[in-house]
Amino acid sequence: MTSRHTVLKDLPCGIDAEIMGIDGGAGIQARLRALGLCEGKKVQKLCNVRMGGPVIIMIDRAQVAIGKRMAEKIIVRPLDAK
Amino acid sequence: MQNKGQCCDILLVGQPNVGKSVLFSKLTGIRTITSNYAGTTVSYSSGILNLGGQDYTVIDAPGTYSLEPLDDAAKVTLDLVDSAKRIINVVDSTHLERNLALTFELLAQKKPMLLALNLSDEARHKGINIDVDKLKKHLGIPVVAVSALTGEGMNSLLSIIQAVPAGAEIPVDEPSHPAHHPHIPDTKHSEEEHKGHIHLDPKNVWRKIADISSDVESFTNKRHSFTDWLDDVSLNPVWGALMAIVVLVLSFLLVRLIGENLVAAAEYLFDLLWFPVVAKLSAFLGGHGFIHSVLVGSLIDGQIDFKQSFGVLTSGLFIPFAAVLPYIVSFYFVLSILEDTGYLPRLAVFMDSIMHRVGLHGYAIIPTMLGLGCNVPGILATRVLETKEQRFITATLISIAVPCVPMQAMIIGALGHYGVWPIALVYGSLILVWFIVGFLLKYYVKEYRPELLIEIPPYRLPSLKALGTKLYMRVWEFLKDALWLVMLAILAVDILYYAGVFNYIADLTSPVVTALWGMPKDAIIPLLIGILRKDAAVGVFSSLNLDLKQLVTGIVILAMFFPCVASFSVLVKELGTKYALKSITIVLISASIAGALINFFWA
Ligand SMILES: Nc1nc2c(ncn2[C@@H]2O[C@H](COP(=O)(O)OP(=O)(O)OP(=O)(O)O)[C@@H](O)[C@H]2O)c(=O)[nH]1
Ligand SMILES: [Mg+2]
Repeated sequence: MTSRHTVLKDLPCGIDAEIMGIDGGAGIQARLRALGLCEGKKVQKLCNVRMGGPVIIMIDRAQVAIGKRMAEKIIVRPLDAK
Repeated sequence: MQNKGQCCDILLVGQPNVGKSVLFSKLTGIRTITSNYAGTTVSYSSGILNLGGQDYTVIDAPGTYSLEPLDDAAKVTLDLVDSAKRIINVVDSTHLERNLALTFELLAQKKPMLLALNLSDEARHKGINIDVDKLKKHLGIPVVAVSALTGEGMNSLLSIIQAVPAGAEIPVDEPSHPAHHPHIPDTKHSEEEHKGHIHLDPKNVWRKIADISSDVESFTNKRHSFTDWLDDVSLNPVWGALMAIVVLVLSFLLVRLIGENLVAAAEYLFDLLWFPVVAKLSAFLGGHGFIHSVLVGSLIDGQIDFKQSFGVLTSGLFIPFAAVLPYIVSFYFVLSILEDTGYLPRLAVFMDSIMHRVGLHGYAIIPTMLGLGCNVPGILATRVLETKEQRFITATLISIAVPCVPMQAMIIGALGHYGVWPIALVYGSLILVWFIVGFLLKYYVKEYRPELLIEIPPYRLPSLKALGTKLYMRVWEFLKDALWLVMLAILAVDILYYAGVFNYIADLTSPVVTALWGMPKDAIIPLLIGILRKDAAVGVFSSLNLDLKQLVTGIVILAMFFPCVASFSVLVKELGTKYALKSITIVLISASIAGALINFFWA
């Protein structure tokens, strides 16, 4: 993991990123994949809900809410701003 | 229909919230509950489609993202897929790529199948175009663009259904579609011939899906619409939380406003039309005697009182029709708007951190909200939660601390004239109990920490027809299941009182009821009646001449106490006997403690 990599939870809001990997078991991978989240996918981080709430992202034109702890397991690489 | 081998001629399969239930209603004419969030349908319903003189049985299954089921609702679907003759794969045109993952798993089942590209009206509005012919070539199965809501494309869908043969293998244009059977983990065989199928590595399938969707989809620019703006506000970290509070408060006020007015209208009608009839009956029966006390009940100051007389034909009709039905209508009207606009998943997002404190994640708010209408559908809806632990906690909390609309309507009726604070005290105690019990349960089932992962559907304008259908179904459900039970409960009270059985029970239980809870020993009667119907039980409480403290204590205990038969039986069915018994034990203990605490602290 290079220094450019971070986890979805810590990615700043409004930034596009590519998913580099998911640091979790088969169960979590399957749940995430069901909503289209897998390696190589591009996502846009919308926001973190306050007080330990979920992370909201846009993927394939759909909004998805991901629990904080799960979002800590999704490794992403920020894409350069256009 | 349940027998193995054949579930149906046509099975509707698709990811959650793609419009399967709307399409099912269009095909069969059968009413279904449809809502704008994932997980509305948690068990299947079946109906008949008549096409060219031939009957086809059609089944609407719960939505599933994948044939590897992630929750109990999706397991239902998996069993159905195995035994269906034909499959209509319903797909959300606005999220083609994600939906195709399930399509490829279904293709591997080698069943006759066609693809219905639903929500094509919404796709058009969003500027998404799908080339149907190209998609057909890629998949090798018939593809039709439809809109289940507007009915567009239905004719072509029907003609294609007739053309898809049952049982036989469909002609597959493309020789190498992936055959990944979910039941057989095929790690060893990936990329190699196996029993005549070609197994592709999942990664290749995803790449292929991405290629297909980029080949068939094209986009035109769209302008920023009102719903986009609303979306920005309701998921905004600051405004969103505020909006959640405003929406909940407004919903509550609207339920109250509509409910109150309907109650007043219903009471007026009862006095005008029904009172003269039962008054004559009472005079005819001579004002007393066994028959009189069963049919008319006891006279209060020489008069029939619909709320207190407790005859089958007086209170037995007044409670369901004039006290409860108005609130059923107002509650479900408001809930349906929240369901159909798509607000509930957004509420789940903002409740997530609160729900974590009781060992759940935000989506558990949806079964809980449904439980406020009636605990039965609430407990059923826990199927959308992924683990047994979450289902257990959610269902137990619903049973303990979520009073159903019939009960709430009666509580408002019984306490309303004392002002706001006794009602606030009842609700406050229940919310507190919900938190405390949830907090304890979280430590009891500590191995697992659930995490929210949900799709947030776009805001949609509720369709009036869908609202009307849902309201009709829920009112009908209430009348069908509840009317006779309320009358039975009242009949039971009358007969047992008359026979003097209650005295015997009341003496037996008086140590708890009187010493622990500070109520007259008779208060055990409504608690027992509550097993049949909680609304009728609140009615018994208000006819007992209790003081306010006793009334509030009694109502809180009743709300928490043993669930009514209907909820108890789904609890057993959904959780299994062992967990249901655990749940009931927790319910009884917490109800006893809560009653004692109120009695103790209320000076
Ligand atoms: N605009 C539009 N809305 C639709 C269409 N089909 C369904 N909807 C709406 O989409 C939402 C979901 O519909 P449902 O029929 O409940 O979806 P489902 O696939 O049965 O969902 P689950 O039971 O949760 O799996 C509802 O709010 C419908 O009114 C359509 O063709 N066009
Ligand atoms: Mg459905």
